[in-house]
Amino acid sequence: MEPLLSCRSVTKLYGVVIGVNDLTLELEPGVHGLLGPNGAGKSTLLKLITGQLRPTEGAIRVLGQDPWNNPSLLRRVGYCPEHDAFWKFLSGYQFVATLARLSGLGRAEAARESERALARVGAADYMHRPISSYSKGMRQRTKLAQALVHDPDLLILDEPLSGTDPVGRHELMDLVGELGAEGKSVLVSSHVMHEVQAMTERFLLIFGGRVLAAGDVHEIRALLYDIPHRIRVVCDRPRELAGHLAARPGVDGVSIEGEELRIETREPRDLFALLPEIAQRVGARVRELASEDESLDAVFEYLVGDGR
Amino acid sequence: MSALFALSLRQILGGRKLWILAAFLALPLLLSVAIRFAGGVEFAEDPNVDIEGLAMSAFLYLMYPQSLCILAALLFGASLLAGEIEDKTLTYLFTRAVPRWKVLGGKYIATAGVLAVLTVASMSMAFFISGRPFGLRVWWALSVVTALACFTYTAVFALLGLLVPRRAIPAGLIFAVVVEGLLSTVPALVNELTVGYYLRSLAWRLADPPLPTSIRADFERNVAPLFVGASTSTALFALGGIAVGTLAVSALLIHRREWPLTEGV
Repeated sequence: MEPLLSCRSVTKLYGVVIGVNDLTLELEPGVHGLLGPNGAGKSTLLKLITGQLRPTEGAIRVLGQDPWNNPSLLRRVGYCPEHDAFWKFLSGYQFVATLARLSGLGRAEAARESERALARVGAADYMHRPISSYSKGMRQRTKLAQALVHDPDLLILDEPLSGTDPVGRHELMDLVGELGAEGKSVLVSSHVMHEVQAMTERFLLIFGGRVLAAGDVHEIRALLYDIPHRIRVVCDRPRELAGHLAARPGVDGVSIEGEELRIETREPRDLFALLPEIAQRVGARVRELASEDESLDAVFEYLVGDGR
Repeated sequence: MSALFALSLRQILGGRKLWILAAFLALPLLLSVAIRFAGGVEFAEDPNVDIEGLAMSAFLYLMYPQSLCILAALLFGASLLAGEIEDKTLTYLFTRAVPRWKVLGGKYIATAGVLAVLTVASMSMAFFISGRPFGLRVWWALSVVTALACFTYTAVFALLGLLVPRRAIPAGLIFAVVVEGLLSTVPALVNELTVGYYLRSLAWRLADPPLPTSIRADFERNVAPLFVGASTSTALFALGGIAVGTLAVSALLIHRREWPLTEGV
């Protein structure tokens, strides 16, 4: 199977500012989240993938082809840009139909597929109104529809949930999941971790123009063996529990705040196995047990801290 | 291409700039009405004494190909792609299965075509209001030259808009005044490098105004070689060459250049 994306030592400079820095990676087809804070290089990477920018150094291949100035590749790619730009004198339907025509669809097919794409993103009710009257959420949906309209193999979505209300956010996250289930490849960027986590389990973590880690959250966490794993325990006897745990090999530290005990360990599996027995021994009733590091926030915090 | 053409048409016809163009094009109409109803110019049957007809034709030439076509082309041509860059809508056009040169071509044809239709329509109204100086031959010549001025200047200003997108209008005005206004009238080789020289030559050849024999002979001997020296075919070839050449450079620029429309990195 041809890789979705292949980057070999890709660097993109804007004058002396680094957008992407010596990036090497290969992505297989599927849904991938591109995660990083603002200015991390996400949009630059997506612009390189969609052929709007050319690498200063290195080579990039998308679906096996060089994306720079490559209209035939763009027929297979749908791109939803980050910025809120439209021809606002058009209706949502006209906007999507125009871009469908530019993707090579005939007039009748463009009309049919535009209606289908707009209905799919939940924009059918207002698609004949001028875009100038749309809310930010409506515009986001319309932008997403134009990326979908020509049924591309690869969807590049740059911050697609920005400005949407909670219901819309949920619907659009479900849509990304559906597209993945249909066999489409999706690369979706966000700086909001839980959004990405809700759409996919496979991530690229990018910071300072570099990919800090790639894989699913568990794989990424496994890479970080040297970084203590944080476990939170809420129980009625945290001091007694802490006393037994602190002396254990592999436990790097414990701290107590009220009924909450925070444990740092490099051997989380061993600790999870031991905890019930120790809790029983000290007579502690555990109400909550959670690994904070299973959240992407925590992983990203580690990685960015390390990257800095 | 038809989708791009339709999009461009809507952009032109739905934009605020159309009102500015309408104001530009209304000016010579008002002047023509004023001249006509103030009992101004009368066009004699005998061409030997038709100095007023010549003056009115010159007025229409100066108003349209020499002034309004330049301003209209600057207004719309300079923002042909620069407007899409500024509005960040170029992203949509350059991430579709359309070669970039076709994006430029589609927008150019729509823009220059609309400008040509509107300016020729305005010129024709002014021509007929003012009493058809020298008859339909002059109208035909002015129509052709006005349309060609729109196509040529739109191509020139489209390139300017790509070279200096943020300063295209002031740069275009300087170009209009210095190159097309002053240099095109300098009786030396330099005026052959201007669009105005070929438009003027073409207008002269196509209109072939019926001047008194003595005036014509004097004009052909002393003035024409300096100011309207190009033959019809040379003028058409030069105007076509300038339009195609500047469009080709624009196409090359947009093909090679990146369009980083980033809000962040």
